[in-house]
Amino acid sequence: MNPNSTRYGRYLIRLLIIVPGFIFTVLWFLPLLWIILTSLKPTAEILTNPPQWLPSAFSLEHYGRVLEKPVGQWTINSLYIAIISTILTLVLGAAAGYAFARLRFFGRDILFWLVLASFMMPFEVMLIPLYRMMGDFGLVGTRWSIILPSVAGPFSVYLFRQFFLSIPRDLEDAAAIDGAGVWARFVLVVLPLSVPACTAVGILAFAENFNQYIWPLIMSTSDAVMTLPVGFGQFAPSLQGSTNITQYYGMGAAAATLLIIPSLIVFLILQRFFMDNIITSGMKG
Amino acid sequence: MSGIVLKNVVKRFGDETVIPELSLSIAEGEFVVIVGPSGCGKSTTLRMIAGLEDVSSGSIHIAGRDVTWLQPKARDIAMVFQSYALYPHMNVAANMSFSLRLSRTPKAEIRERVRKAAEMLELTEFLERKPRDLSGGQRQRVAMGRSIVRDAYCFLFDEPLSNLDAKLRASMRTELSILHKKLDRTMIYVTHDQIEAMTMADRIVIMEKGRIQQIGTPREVYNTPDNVFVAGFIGSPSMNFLDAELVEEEMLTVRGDGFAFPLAPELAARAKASRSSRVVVGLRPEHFAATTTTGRAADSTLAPVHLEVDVAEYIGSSQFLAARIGSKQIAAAVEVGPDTLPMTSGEYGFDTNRLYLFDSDTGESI
Amino acid sequence: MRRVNPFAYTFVIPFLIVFAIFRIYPFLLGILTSFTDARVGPRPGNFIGLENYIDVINNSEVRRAFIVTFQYSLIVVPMSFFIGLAMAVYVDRKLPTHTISRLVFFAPFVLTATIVAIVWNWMFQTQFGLVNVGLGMLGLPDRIAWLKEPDLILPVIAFITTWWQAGFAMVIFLGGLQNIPGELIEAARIDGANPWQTFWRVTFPLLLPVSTLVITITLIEAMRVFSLIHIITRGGPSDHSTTVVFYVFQEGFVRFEQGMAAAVGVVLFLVIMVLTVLRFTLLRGDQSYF
Ligand SMILES: Nc1ncnc2c1ncn2[C@@H]1O[C@H](COP(=O)(O)OP(=O)(O)OP(=O)(O)O)[C@@H](O)[C@H]1O
Ligand SMILES: [Mg+2]
Repeated sequence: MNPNSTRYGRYLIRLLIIVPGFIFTVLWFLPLLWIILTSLKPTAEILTNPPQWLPSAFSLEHYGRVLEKPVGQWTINSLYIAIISTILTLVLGAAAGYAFARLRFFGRDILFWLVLASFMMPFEVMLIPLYRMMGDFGLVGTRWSIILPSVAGPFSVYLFRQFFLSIPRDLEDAAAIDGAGVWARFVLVVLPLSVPACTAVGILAFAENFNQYIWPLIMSTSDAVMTLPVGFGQFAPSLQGSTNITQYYGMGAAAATLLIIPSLIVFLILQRFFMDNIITSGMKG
Repeated sequence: MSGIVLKNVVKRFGDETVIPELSLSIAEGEFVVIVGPSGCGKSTTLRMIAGLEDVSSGSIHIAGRDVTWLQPKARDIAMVFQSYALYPHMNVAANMSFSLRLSRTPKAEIRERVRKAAEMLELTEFLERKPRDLSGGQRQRVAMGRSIVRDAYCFLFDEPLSNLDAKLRASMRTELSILHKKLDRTMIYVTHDQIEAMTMADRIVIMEKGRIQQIGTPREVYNTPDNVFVAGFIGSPSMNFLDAELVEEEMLTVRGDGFAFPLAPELAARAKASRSSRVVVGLRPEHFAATTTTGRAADSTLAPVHLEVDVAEYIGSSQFLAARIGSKQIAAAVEVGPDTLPMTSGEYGFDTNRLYLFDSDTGESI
Repeated sequence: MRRVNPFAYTFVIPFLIVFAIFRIYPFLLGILTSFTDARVGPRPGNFIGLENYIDVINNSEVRRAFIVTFQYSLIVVPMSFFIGLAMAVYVDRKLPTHTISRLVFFAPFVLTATIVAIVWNWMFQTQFGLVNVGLGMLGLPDRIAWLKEPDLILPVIAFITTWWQAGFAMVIFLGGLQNIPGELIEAARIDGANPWQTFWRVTFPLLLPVSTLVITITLIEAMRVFSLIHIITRGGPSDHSTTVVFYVFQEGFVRFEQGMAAAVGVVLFLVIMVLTVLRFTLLRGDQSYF
């Protein structure tokens, strides 16, 4: 066979893969692009068919209306809850994960089994009892009612344990011989080597806590604790009867854009951690 | 009592007994090498001395103290790991000074000790580097350095050279011996490489399946192995074993498939005393000799034996033969002189003074 | 005689306290509540034995909720699986566009449910939604009321979920692909397999552990589906998208039948437990993937 023709064939195959793949990629992103464009159109230009892609003039009217709601307060709540949860998840999860990975103590195996078993207990099963407990504890209407249950999850403990098990045991043995006690080994040797695991767990925990929906929905008795995902739910048009629906599409688009832009920016900055760490620290044993 | 003493140490992992019972005493300043095949419990023994594994029963004493239940840091030991176990996030200086910093040694003293150790190991120019930017040999030296700065009572080495290439390993062997002389500290060195054992040890401990088979100087374990296992383990290539019978001829003779060797008087006496007729004959490859053009060597202890040679490998000073005596495969290493005949099947000699006999039931040396 | 490290407890106790109070205790309390007629408020409710569970079996609404959830799972799991797999394979070939595609495929995963709901509400809008507009441009029926057709609502929610989460499956598959030694693929090539055969005969079987992981995760996520339903459909049209968790929510926090809601929750837990145990028995010996 003529080498040039096989080479030509290869390019053709590549092209046959690239082009549909690229179209698919564009389509996948189209909804986000369209909602962003929609949010900038004057109301009159939103409901048109065939669609008007670009607004004739950029309009911020929908944003104005979204911001009439206490969006600032919701943002503070969301960040507060996500940050505190993440810090607690990291601290408690790393310490417990280390104990389960490396230390010997009475009841370790049973306790770890319990932690694993709790993976099977979907949070939804606990909605009713947690709700009743929060009432008993007088935590309803506080941010802690949202923070504490999320810190109790087994995920970080499990991930940290897996990661610590992958650190060569010799390193800790060497440190023990060098005279380091358990905490010194943990803080001076293990943690500095666990930056990837901490970043992965931290990012995942933050994203999960920032984005969670059902529990904050139940706990959001007032704007004082309401989070962005719950608050913005009010802008979803389908829930709003039929009056003034046009406005709601615009407001929904504006609200969505307000969260899409920062989410995507954070994602772009941290994408390496999001995608690589799920592979390396999450799934490997 | 000083030095290191293990008394009736037993180690079990769950149901599995890895060390059935082990007693060992090591004098202060001695360089002891523990050898044995993979999985025989060498590392486990070392780690129990270090305090990284608990003993299941028995006791361990270091410098006269019972340290059985003490933490590693209270035992005054330093250890070099096979993987080197260098802290990847610390540079060489920080690696070496880690233990000193933990014990809150004054800064000036730390700096001085690190400098000295680095000088001794020729690491001075690498002090600022991270372990990943060092070669294998340099990492190995950092691991050494980390233990040296401690000035511990005892140094433990778990196969520290096994990740190096052959040449570097040879030179590190020498350096380790020199280091031992300089530091004059008790050292326990684990390896499965018998050359390392033979070259460095004051005494060798040979282990198999968690049991000590023999303890002795390199000469003792080579020349007078206690049993078949030690005889086969020490020496390279390893000893050939042939089944044989003791028969009374004009001299007491061992006769087997394709060979008959008269016994030297001393060995004959012992063989008689043992009163077993079925024995195992041990022939070290290096004790075979070639026939020369001038006929068989005049040496009267050289007994003739017919070798059926399958392969001969010439390596300059000598020649390795893969051959058969009768139907049994053996190895021989024969010195090659200018007048040596080509290595083909035929008559060879074996030095009967160097012949070993073992009881075929117990494997004990006769 | 074993040396137990007393410091170990200082490592685990903080977590264990939170874990016990906010995970184990509510779980047990949930089981307890499921045997009562508890309504909202501080009173624990009266013990009524298995009545709630009998109700679960007899009550057609609950049965509907489970059926709807299973139907939804049957659509969303294969959809996410194959789209995620296709994405991973596409992105894994180091074509010029792979970085951007990888980013785009994963990006929706970082968005919160509310945004996804708003975006697709708008996309599926009957008159002006981009989906119908696109269909119209292709000359296809373009007046489909996606969110109001009882038969379409589950596939539509499944599709939205796939858009939202297939990137996650993709990343897991990518991990699996990268763990396959390149020599294996090359060996298959040399043995004369074409790329298509190589994929299905060599690569795909080697992805088995990862595949089970993806299926388990998406399946359990599907059993728990709530946020999109709550924002987009409120369980409708009529009850065609009333899933189990949405039912629990309605029963517990709208109708305040908390005993009954707890019982449905416990049944959901049992289903998820069976799925998890099944996966581990199917894949015993492969503990490296959780
Ligand atoms: N933590 C453990 N749990 C169970 N068994 C173990 C453990 N550590 C070691 N063993 C077993 O104990 C035996 C001795 O192991 P050890 O590491 O001491 O061997 P070794 O002589 O150092 O071998 P090598 O030359 O391969 O390093 C082996 O059979 C090993 O499987
Ligand atoms: Mg070993």
